Amino acid sequence: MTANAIVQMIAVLGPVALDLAPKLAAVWHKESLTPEEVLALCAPARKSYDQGIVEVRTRLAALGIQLPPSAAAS
Amino acid sequence: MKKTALTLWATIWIIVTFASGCSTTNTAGRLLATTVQSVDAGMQGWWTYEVLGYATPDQVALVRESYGEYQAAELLAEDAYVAYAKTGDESAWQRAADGLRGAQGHLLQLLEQFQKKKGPP
Repeated sequence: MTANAIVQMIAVLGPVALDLAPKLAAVWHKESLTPEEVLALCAPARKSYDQGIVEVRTRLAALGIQLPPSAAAS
Repeated sequence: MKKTALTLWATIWIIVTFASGCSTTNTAGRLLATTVQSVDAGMQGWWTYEVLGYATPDQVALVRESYGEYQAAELLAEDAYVAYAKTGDESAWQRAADGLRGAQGHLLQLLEQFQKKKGPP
């Protein structure tokens, strides 16, 4: 995992790249990866759109970030 | 149009190629996992954008649809990957991987396009 690669990822994805970089490094540095482990790593794809919204709302609320009225009400 | 997807894939390629101690076994599985993790990261940013009130209803509808298409392509890719891991037949996996790349590229393109202008609602 090079510093330049991480900087590029941050430029494309924003701050979420800081979470993504170690996850990708773990995928590629692991000595062996079984199909079962691959499928486990693919679990985020099961997340529905609405589940993603709930996840983010929960995280922002935990950080004390006030949401706009329209987002908080729905 | 495909700048975001190409940039992301180029970045991932850089990481894969130049990262020290990179393992090359089960490349198909690693690429599949990398795709899923990368899309999830992009969607985390989008969901934050939407929750903070920056996305329009039309944009949300388009991203929601594209995300559904990505999920369908990813399921196909998983099945194809499992079959490839069992039988060694790469043809179905390659087709599914191409479909997944296309869906991922379209989704990431939308995310970049819609999040170009950020500001208070």
